[in-house]
Formats: sequence, structure tokens, C-alpha cells
Amino acid sequence: MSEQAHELVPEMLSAYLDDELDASTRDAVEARLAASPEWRAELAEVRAAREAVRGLPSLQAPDGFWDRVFTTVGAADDASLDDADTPPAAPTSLPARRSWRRASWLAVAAAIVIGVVAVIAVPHRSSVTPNVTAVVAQHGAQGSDAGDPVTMLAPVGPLAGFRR
Amino acid sequence: MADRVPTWEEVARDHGRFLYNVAYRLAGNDDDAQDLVQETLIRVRRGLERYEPGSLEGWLARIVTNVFLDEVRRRKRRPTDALPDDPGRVLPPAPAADEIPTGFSDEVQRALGELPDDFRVPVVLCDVSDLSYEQIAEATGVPIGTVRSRIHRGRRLLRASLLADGVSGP
Amino acid sequence: MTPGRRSAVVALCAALVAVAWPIAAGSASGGDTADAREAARLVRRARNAADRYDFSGTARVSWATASGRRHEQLQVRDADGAVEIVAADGAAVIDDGRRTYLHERLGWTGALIEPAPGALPDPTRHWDLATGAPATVAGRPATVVVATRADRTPAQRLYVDDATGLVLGREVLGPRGHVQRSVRFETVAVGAPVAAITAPQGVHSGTADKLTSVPDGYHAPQSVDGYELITRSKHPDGVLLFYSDGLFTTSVFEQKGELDWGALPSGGSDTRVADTSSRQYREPSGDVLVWQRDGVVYTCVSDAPSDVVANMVDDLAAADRSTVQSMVDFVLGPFGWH
Repeated sequence: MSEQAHELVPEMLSAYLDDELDASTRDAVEARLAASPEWRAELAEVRAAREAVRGLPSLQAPDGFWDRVFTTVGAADDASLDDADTPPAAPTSLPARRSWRRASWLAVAAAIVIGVVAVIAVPHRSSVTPNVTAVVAQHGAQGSDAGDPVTMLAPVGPLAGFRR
Repeated sequence: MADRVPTWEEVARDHGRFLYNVAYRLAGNDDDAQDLVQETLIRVRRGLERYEPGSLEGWLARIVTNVFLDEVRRRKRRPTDALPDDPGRVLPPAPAADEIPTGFSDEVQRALGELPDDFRVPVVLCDVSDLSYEQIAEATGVPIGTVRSRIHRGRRLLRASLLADGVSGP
Repeated sequence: MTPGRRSAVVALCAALVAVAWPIAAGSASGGDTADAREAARLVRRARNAADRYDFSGTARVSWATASGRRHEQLQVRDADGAVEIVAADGAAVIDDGRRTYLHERLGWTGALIEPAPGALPDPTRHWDLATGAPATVAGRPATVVVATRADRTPAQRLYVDDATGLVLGREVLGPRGHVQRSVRFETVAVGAPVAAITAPQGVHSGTADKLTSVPDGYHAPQSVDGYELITRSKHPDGVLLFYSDGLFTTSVFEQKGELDWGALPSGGSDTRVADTSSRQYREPSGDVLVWQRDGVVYTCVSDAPSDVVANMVDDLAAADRSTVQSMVDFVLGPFGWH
């Protein structure tokens, strides 16, 4: 069916990206794109989404999955196939974050005396504002001497968190 | 291959990865993707005699889509089941990828998972399975004009979701 | 021995075992197989591949922040061992092998020249390394080197170019397998002529003096949670420590004084480090943590995964506590007096 019979609508932009338009409609869409910033913006929008999905990595099923499939699907007769099931995946074991070890109660008595004295005796200190950006850059510079320079320095380049 | 119908084992061996990827992108997690692939191969085994040599992957995509939609309908009837993208669920480790991920594939997968099924299915069939609009219309049983509209709207929703998540590219 | 003293000794022994065990476990499990040795070889080769090959390309940096994932596209070129990296808005880094320059809105600045780092620890002492499935990055065949935690979750994937050993991609992964930060080439040309990289003229680069020990009041443990102290240097306003576990690196900058929280850059989030308030930033180059303890302000930057950084910083901060301050906290903490 020719698209010429239809009014041009923005949803043709996805079909345009997917090469799903006939030649005359494609020309009409291109003409509209040349004239309309809104259409160009929408094209950029759907193109970005399309590329994001198409850029997803190709995944591999976990080890052992295909062995189970061949065993399960191959061994069962048709009548029982509906009930075939896959062994559940092992639950994820999240690493427990270590909690810091506290001092023993034995220190309590001494601390009551020494600690209070220490708090009172704390001298007035000057105010410090660390130059976080400089420390990050310095880390990248020194890290590049110790590791491969590109992946050490590339993240330093944007310094994005502090730049905007 | 064009002259004879493949066995289900050949389908699993030669197209298993394709099936797993389509299933994973539809379901959004490894557990459900494994179930979808297995159920699809069961249906492939039953239905091979009805397969007419042509686009095997188009045929497989249609089956895996039907299995997925059947499962969605089943879970809607039994709402106590965890839905595929239940945010409270502890996800298993991401499956291995042969290619280096784009760096925000988690966000793209999450955004895909948030799309209503009517939009997610044609977007996945188009951009993961690389099916034509005509094949997608055949697989989903909707007119080709509806496929075109849903792919476009699905992409716009996906883009908006990624932007809301702070992903501004590519 | 009194019951109280016995329980203190038991607690001390338990603490020592807890500290020593991960290191021993890492030593025993890593580096024993041919594959682990090959993976370690690829890591070592990757460290100086950029010195051996000229290349240019486009790289993408992506990182997770509290408000979502962000990314930047960078132009990278390397000629005669000098590297230039330019962001879309003109921000740039040049490293000529000795000095590092940064270009931002205010023009070029030079990072202090640090003393040459000592030998890094063997990465297999603390990490299990293995090669993964073959991969293709920017059209080039690469080998994946995976470093895993003791619980078998991957902490880093390096994509090492088969032909040259260049790192074509790097992903740092959190404990649940999510990519926290990544750098990867989208396009790269190796061997084609690359225009010479010239350092900016007239930019002053001072030199940080190497220290063999840190002055009184600063804290520089030789080893923290598997990280070994590589260099100490004196800066005009503090002391910089550089740690490595052979795979990741951590810088700790110490300044004496009271932290002015209000003057810190925006965009951070408040967290706790060893029971101390801290400001955290998630930057493309790594996690940044700022805290204060015992009259010293610490700024820590690390390219390790967040959980690894948190453990290391917890140990560092806790190890730095003076006995007196520990006791003060212990006694006064429950009453909310500080």
C-alpha cells in the first residue's frame, strides 16, 4: 500500500529509520524533515531510543542452561512437556559489608576520664576546604603513571560532577 | 536448511542465542527468559511439522512472543505471582555478554521493562529480533499501521524514560 | 586472667583474624592457574601498551550517580606516549608522560608532578583474575580480563586488545553486577599517523616532594584492607598518599584543620565512614569521599567499585582514630553528645 495516500504523520519517522517506507513517502518525509525543526527533534529522539535498544549487548544464557534444555525438552514426551520446569537459578549472594569492630568495654573506665579531658583540650583549628577537583585530577595523573594512562585519564577528562 | 525442516535440536543449537536474547529483552530477567526459551522450544518441537521453510527467526520470534504474552496473561489472572519487572525482586547476576555493554544497558533494559507490553513487544521484535514491520504484524496479530504507531510511540516513551533516568544519549 | 580481660583478648584475636583472612584467602585462591597467570600478564601488558603504540579514537565514559547514569563522549589520541583526551565542551587532559595538564573554563592548569610510583602489588594477591569470552570492541578482537571478588562477583572487566595490549574498554562493577563506571572505545585506529601532542606552553607544574614518612598528625598506614601504600608526597596544603591493590588505585589527601562542609562542591550525598559523617561524590574517575577526623580532613578518590572503596575507607578511617578519640566516641556516642 502506498503511503502517498496518507497524510504525513510523525510516527512515520520510526518507519523512516527502519526503512519501512516506500520511496515516495520517504522523499516526502525527508522534505518535511528539511523544513521542520520539530520533526528533526523527534527524529533525533526516536533514533536515540532505537540505537539504545539496538546497542544492547548480546547475552549468553548462563552455564548449564542449554544442557538442561536439551535434557528437559528432549526427554519429555509431548503430553508431559507442559509440566517441564527449569531448576531455579541459585539466589544471588550479596556480599555482606563488614561492620567495624568496636573497642571492648574494658576501655570504658579509662575513656570517661581521658576522653572528657581530650574534648575540652581540643585546640581551635583553621578551616579547610579541600579542592576536590584538584584531588581527583591529581589521582588521575598519578594513577596514569601506575596503570594504563587512557582508562585512568579518560574519566578525569569530563570532571563532570563538579563542572556543571 | 531451506530444503528441509530443521529438528528442534538444530533450532536450539543454531538459534538458541537469538531466542534467549529476544526472551530476555521481553521478560527483563534471566529466570523468566530461561522459562520462555524452554517453553518456546517445547512449542517448536510440537509445531515443527507446521513450519514452512522461510524466515525461521521470524517464526521463532512469533512463538516466543506468544509464549511471553500467554505468560503475562496468566500472571494477570494470578496476581500473587511476581511480575517480570517487580522492583522488589532480587535479580540474579546479569548474564554474560560477548560484547562490551554500552555502559547504561541496565537503564535501557529497565526502560524497556517499563514500557506497556503493547509497545515493548513490537520494539523488541524490531530492534532486538530485527524483524520487518510485516513480520511483527504477523507475530502480534495487529495491523501493520498499528505496528508502526506502536514502535514509534514505544521509542518515544523509552527515550523519555531514559532522559528521566539521566541518560541523555546516545 | 579476669573474665573481662579474657573477653578483650578474644575480641582482639577475632579482629585480627577478620583482618587477615581476606588477604590470606585472596593469596591462596588467585594466580595459581595458567589462565590466572595469563590474565595477570594481560593486565601488566596493558599498563604500558599506550607507550608502545600510537592511536586515536572516540571513547565513551559512562558512570552511575545518585541521580542517574551519565556519560561523555571523548576524543582520545596518543602519540609518542603522550595522551590527549578532549570532551565535547572543550575540557581536556594532556599527559605528556611526566606532567598532566587540565583544560577547563579558566584555561590550562598543571597537576603537581608526583614522585614516580614504586612497584605495584601483584593483582593476583588480592583478586582472582581470569580471562573471559572473546569480545569485539570498536571492531577489534579483544580478550576480557575479569577480576572477581572473593564471593565470585565480578569487580572489573578489562577489554584488552589482542593485537596491541591496549585497554579498549574497562568496566567497574558493583557487588550486584551493575556497571558503576565504564570507559570504552567506540572507534579506534591504531598505527595510523597521529599528529604530535604538544603540552600547553607557559603552564606552571610544581613538584610534590617525596616523603619517606609523614609529619606528625598525619596518618599513613602501610597497608589498608589489601591496599598497599605506594607513594607519599608533600603538597603545599597537605599530604597525598597513593595506594594500590595491584588493580585499583586510591589517593588519600590529608589536610590539617576543620572541614568547612558548606564550601564543598554541590552534587554530593551524605554518608558515613567508620561511624563518621562523610560527603560522597560519584565521579567518572571514581568515588570521592570527604570526611574529618582528629583534626585532619581526608579527601579520598578511588577507581575501585563502591563496596571495595567503602571497606577500604572504613578501615583507613578507623585505623586513623587515635585511642583517645576512640574512647571518647565510645563513651559519648550513645548519648549523642557529638
